[in-house]
Amino acid sequence: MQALSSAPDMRSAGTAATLSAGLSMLRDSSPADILVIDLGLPDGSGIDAIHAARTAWPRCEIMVATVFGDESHVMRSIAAGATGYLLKDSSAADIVRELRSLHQGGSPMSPLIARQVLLRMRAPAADTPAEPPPLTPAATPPTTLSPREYQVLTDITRGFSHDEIAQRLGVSRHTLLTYVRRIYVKLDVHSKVEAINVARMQGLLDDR
Amino acid sequence: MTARLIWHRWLALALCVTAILASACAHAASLPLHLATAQLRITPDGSLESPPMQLVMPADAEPWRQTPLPVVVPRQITPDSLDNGAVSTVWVRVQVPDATGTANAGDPLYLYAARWQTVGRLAVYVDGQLRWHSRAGPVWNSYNYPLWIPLGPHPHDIVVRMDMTGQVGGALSTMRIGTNGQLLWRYAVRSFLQTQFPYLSSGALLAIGIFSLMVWCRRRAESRYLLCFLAAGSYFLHTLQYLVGQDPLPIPEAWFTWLAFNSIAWLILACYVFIFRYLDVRYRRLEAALTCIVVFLATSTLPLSWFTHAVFLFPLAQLLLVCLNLTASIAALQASWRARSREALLFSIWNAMSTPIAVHDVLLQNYRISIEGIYLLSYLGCVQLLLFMYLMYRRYIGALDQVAQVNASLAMRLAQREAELNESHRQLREIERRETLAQERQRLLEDMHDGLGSSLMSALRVVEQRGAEIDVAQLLRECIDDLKLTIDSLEPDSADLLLLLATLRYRLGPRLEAAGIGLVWEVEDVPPLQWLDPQGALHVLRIVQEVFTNILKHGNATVIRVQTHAVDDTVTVRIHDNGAPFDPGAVSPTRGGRGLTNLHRRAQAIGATIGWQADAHGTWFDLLLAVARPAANA
Repeated sequence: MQALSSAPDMRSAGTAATLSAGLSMLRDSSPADILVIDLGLPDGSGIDAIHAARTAWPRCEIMVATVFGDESHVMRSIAAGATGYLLKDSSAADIVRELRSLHQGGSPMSPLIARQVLLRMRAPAADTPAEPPPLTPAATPPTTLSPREYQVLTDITRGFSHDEIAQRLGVSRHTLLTYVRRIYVKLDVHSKVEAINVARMQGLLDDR
Repeated sequence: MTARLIWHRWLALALCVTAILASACAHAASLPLHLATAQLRITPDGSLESPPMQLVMPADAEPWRQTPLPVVVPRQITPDSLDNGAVSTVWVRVQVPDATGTANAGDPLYLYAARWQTVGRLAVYVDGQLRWHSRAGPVWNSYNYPLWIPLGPHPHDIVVRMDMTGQVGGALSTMRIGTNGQLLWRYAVRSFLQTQFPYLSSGALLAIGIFSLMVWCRRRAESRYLLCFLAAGSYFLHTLQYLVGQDPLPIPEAWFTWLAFNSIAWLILACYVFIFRYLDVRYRRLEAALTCIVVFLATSTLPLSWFTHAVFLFPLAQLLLVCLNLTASIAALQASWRARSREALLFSIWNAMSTPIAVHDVLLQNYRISIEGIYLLSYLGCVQLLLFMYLMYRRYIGALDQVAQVNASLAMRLAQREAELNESHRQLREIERRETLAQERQRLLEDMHDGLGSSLMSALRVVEQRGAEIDVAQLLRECIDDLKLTIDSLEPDSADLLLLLATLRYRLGPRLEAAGIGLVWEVEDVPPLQWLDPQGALHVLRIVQEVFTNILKHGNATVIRVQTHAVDDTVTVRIHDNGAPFDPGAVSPTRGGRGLTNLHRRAQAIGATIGWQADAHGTWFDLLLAVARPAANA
C-alpha cells in the first residue's frame, strides 16, 4: 500500500485479508490489472485463490508474495497460474518496479526457478539431438521451449542479469521480458498437460 | 425311499436273468451233454511221436471198462527204474447219442474239457479220424489250456488218446459237448481265468518291476527297488509255465522246466528279503539259509539228466520249497507284527497265504484233488502286484509329504530370515535417518551461529553502540539475506556451482547495486561438482558472501568482477575488486579477523584452497575447488 502511494499511475482496487474475503472479492468486484496474493492466508492456501482468480479474472496478472521466493512455493504458484512473484522484503521502489514490469509484459525469474523450469520442460529439439523424438506432435508444441527461451533460462541459471542476457541475445530488455512471460505461460500450460498425461496413465481419463 | 426303489429294480433284474437262464437250460437240456462217465482202456508200448491220422488200437488190448470222469491215472512218487522210459497209452471213449441233434440239427458241435494233464501227448479222434492233437511237449504240452475241439455236425464216436511217460500219471476232466453258443462262454471264462489273467497280471507286475529297476539304477542304496524288480521278474518267469505249450518251445524243455521251478524259489526269496528290507530288519541266518536252499535247488535241479529231475526230484524239491516258504513267511509275519507296520503285515499275510496255495497247486499237479481246479499260484502274483504298488504308493506319498514339510519349513525359515532382515534394515534406516537428522541439525546450528546468529549479534552491537545513527533496516535486510542464503543452500540441485553463484548474485545483487558497486559477470561453464551437498553448497555461498561483504565494508570498490574457470580437475572462482588492496596478513584478529577465520575453516571443510593476490587495480580472490570428491571433506 505504501509502495503504491508513491506511484501516481497505480491505485489499489481492493484488498482482502482472508481467502474467503478474497474469493468474494473475485466474484463481486470488477477485474483488476494485477492481483497480489499472499500464499500464507489465515484460512486457506493462496494457491486456491490463484485458481479462482484465473477463472474469475482471466486477463488479470497474478503475482505471488513470498518471504523467500523459494523454489517449491513459487513453482506451485506458477503451475496454478501465477505469472510472477514478489519478495516481501523488497523495498517499495523495487515493488513498484516489479509490478510495472509485470504489467508491461514480464516478471523476473530467479536462477533456481529457471533451473526448475529447465528441468520440468522439454528442451528445444534443435539443441538436444540425442533426446528421443516427442511422443505426439499435437501434445508437445505448447510445452516445448523455443531455442531463445531455452537460452534465456540457461543464462539466468548462470547468473546473468536480465539486462546482460538481453545484451547477449542482442534484443531489448522489453523483448527479453516477453520471453520470460511466455515461459511462465508455457509452464502453466505444461503443468496442465502434465496433469492430463498423469491422469491418462492412471486410467482416469478416456483416450477418446 | 430311493434305496428301496433301487433294490427293487435290482431284484427285478436278477429275477429276469434267472428266468432267461432257466429257460435256456430247459431248452437245451438235451444238447449240452455233460459227460461224467466214459469207457477206458490202458495199453502199454505207447509212443510220443505224432499220432496217426486214423484211429489205430492195439489188437491185444484189454476190454473197455466203464469209468467215471474225471479219470486219473495216479503218479507214483517212488521211482520204478524197471519201468523207466516206458510209455503207456490211456484210451478214453465216449459215444454221442444221435438224439442230441434234434434241437439244433445241422449246427456244428464242439467238445469242451476243462483240463487234461500228463507228461506226454494228447490226440482226439472223432469217428476214427484225427481231429486234434497237442503239438508241443511232452512236458510243456498246453496242459493249462482247456480243450476246445470242433466235432462237426453229427459226431458219434469220440476217442481221446493220451500217451503218458512212465510213472508221472495223467488225468482228463469231464467233457461237454454242445454248440458254439452253448459252450463258448465256458471255454472263454476258463481260458481267461487259467491263462489270460495270469498273463496280464504278470506283465503288469513286470512293468512295475522295470520301473523299480530304473529307480534303483539312480538310487543304488535302496535295494528294495532292485528286490521289487527281481520279484516281478521271477514272477513273470514263473507265470510263463501256465502260458506255454501251444507251440514247441524255443529252448529245450528241460531248461524251461528248470526255470519254471526255480523262478518260484527266487520269487519267495525276493519277496521275503523285500519285506525284511522294508521293515529294516535283518535275519542273517534265515536269509543265509534261504539263499543256500535256493542255490541248492537251482544247482541240483540243473537239467543234466532231465527225465530224472522232471519225474522224481521235483515233487521232493517242491516239498522243500513249501517248508522254506512256511518258515520265511512266519519270520516275516513276526517281523511285521513287531514293527507294527500294517502294510508289511498285509504283505506278509498274503505271502503266508502262498503256502496253502502252493500246497493246493502241488496237490493239483499230482492229481490229488479234482483236476478241474485252477492253478492258484498264478493269482498270488496279481495280489502281490497290488501290494507292491501299495507299498510304493505309500513310499511315494511319504516322500511327497516330506518334501512338502521341508518346503513349508524352508518357507517359514525364509520368512523368518526375511523378517529379521527387514528388521535390521529398518534399524539401519532408522540409524541413518537419525544420523542425517543429527548432521542437518548440526549444520543448521553452525549456520545459525556463524550466519544469522552472528549477523544479528553484530547488528545488535552496532545498534547498542551507535543508536540512531545507523540504518537498522539495512542491518535487518542483511540478516534476511543471510537467511535466504541458508534456504537457497537447501535447494535439491546444488551440484551446479554456477547456479550457486547465480543465486548469490540474485540475493546480494540488489545490495551491491544499492552500494553503488557494479558487477561484471564473466562466468564460464564448469563441470558439476558431484561432492557438493547442501552443506558444501552453504560453505561455498558463505565464502563468496564473506568476500563480498569484506569488499563492501573495507574496499571502497566500485566494480567487482566474478570469473569462473575450469582447468584440469580444478574449478577456480576468481573475484576481483578495484578497491584498496587487501592483505589478509595485516588484518588484526579483533577487527574482521573472525570473518577470515571462518573463511579458512569453511574452505578447509570442503577441501578448497583460498588466497588473495593484489594487482595494480585491486585485489584478486581465488577459490580453488576440486572436481572430484576431496579427501579432506569427510
